[in-house]
Amino acid sequence: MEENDPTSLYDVLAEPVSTADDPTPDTIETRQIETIDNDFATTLLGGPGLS
Amino acid sequence: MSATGDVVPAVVVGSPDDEHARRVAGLLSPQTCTLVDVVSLAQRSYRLDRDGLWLDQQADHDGGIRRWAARVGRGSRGWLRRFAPPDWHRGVLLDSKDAAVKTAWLTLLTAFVRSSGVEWLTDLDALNRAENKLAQYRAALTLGIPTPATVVASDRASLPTDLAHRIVVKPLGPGHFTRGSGDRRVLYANVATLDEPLLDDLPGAPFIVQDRIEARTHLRVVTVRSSVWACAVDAGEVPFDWRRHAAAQRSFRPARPPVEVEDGAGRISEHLRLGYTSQDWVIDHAGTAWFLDLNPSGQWLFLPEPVASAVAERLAAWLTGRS
Repeated sequence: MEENDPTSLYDVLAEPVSTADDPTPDTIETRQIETIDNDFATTLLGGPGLS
Repeated sequence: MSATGDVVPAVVVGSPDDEHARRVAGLLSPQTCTLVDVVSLAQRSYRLDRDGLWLDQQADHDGGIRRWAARVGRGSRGWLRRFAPPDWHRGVLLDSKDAAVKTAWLTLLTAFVRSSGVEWLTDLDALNRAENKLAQYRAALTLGIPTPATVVASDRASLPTDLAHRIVVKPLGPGHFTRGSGDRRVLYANVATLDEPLLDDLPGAPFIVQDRIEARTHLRVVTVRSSVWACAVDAGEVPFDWRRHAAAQRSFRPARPPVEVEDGAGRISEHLRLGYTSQDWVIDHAGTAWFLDLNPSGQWLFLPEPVASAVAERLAAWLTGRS
């Protein structure tokens, strides 16, 4: 599947990060804790997204 | 071999490069507060045992008894800001050796968080649960706090018929990603109508669809335990999703929130066992206050003074047992 194929709302709604307007992209929360939790789920339970 | 070292009263789990972690830790002396995340931990000597996390082993000057600069464990208080810097995982394949190494560091830090006896402002399980927006909506419903009708559905035909025609579509999962080319992409809350073509792509990934509340005022509410602060901006001055423009973030002004917001923000924090929250609320044109969502480890330093400093000082005070 090509990355540019519109197959989900991630393809339709995602916008480029505007570094000119927002020099600190972290103002869009990076949700690092959730990402970490997904990593644990991947390791222990066999699939991402479990929490 | 036994180990010695002074208990550090406070620990902030976050990167020294993280503005929020640094701001809070900076209010305390290095002898009072230590800052640690997976990257900085890898650059220090450490030992995790039943007595907690020992840090920065020092030269042996007293007969073979190890001396550590600090110990974090029972008797310490802590705040979980971030385990790792943003993008620490960028480009790492899930089943690669690099992923295994990074997961080992995360496992170590999590073992410290779960087993060291530190009293956390918000514990890890409560924090993770509260990251889920649908868990937040359920909490609001349970508490009788107004929140927009919210659904996740496989496709347009599966959406409830009583949903408002004007809706908001926003990610249930991560709100940002990096394309193969390295370009970063972000997703905001988008306004749509039920007949718009974009809903044809709903089946590809779960997204939140909810009634749109016609906001008169946006509120960013921050709680630290029983303390509540609020800042407001007129909805006419900012984009629908005010995070879209940095200038909008700077438009917030300190405000005294309606009593139902102050009360509701505190109740939902308590219900979810969150010692810290940053919450988004709106006041509609009829004056009703609606809870939109919260971040259990979110940002507040974009808010104006005196709120920004007051929140940091309240966190620091709790960490050192002064409140």
